[in-house]
Amino acid sequence: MTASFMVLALLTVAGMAAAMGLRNAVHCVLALTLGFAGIAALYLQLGAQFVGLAQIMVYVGAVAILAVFAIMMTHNPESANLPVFSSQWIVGCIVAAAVFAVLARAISSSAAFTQVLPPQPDATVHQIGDSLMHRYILPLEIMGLLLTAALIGAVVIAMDRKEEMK
Amino acid sequence: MNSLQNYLLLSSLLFSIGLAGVLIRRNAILVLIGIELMLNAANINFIAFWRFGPDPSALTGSYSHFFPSASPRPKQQSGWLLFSLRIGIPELPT
Repeated sequence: MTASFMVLALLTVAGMAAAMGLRNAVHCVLALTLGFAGIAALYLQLGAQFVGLAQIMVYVGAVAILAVFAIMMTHNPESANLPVFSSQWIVGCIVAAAVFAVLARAISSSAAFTQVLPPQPDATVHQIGDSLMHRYILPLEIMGLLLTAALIGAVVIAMDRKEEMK
Repeated sequence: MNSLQNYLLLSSLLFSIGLAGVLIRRNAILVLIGIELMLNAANINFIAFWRFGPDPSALTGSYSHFFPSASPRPKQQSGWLLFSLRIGIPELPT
C-alpha cells in the first residue's frame, strides 16, 4: 500500500464520514466536497485522467453547489432544534457495519483481488470520444434522451407550482 | 504496491458510510447525498476493476463509469427539485 493511496483514502473517508455525521447540513455538503475531491484524486492516481477531471467538474463543482442550493431553499428555522439523526440510529449503524463486515470479509478472503498493477494504459480523451461516437453511440443517445426527459420534467414541475401560486 | 483489494475495501467502506447516512439521517437531502455516496463507491469499483483488469487499454472502465454515473443523475436531481418545490421541509419521521 503506497503512502499516496493511504493519504487519499484517509482524506476521502474522513470527508465522507463528516458529510454523514455533522449537524449543520451546509457543513455536511462542504465535507462532501472534500470527499469527492479525494475520490477524484484516487481516479487520477489510477490513471483515469478523463474520469478524474470529470469527477472534479461534476461532483466537486456542480453537485455540491446544487446540494447547497437545495438545502438553503428548503431550510426551515423551526427544524433547527429537532434531532438530526433518526431515533433508531443505532440500528442503522449496526446494519451499515454488518454490510461492511460482509463485504470486507468477502474481499479480503478472495485470492482473485491480490494481483499487482498492470502497466499504465494510455486512455486519452480522443480515444474515449472516438468510441463514444462510434461503438457506444446508442447508449449515449439513450442517455441524452433520459437527460432531456428529466429536464422537461423539471420544467413541468416548476410550472405547476407557479399556477398554484396564482 | 497497491493491490485491487485496497481499492475494493475503500469503496466498500465508503458504501457503508453512505448506507449509514441513508439509514440514520432525518434530512431528506442528506439521505439523497448518502445515495450519491453509494453510487460513487460503485464508480471507484468500476475504475479499479478497469485498471487491474486483463485489458486496461480497452477503456471499458471509462464507459462503465460514464453511463452509471450519468443515468441516476436525473432521478437524483428530480428528487432534489421535488423536495425543494413541493414538500418544502424535507424532514423524515423519527
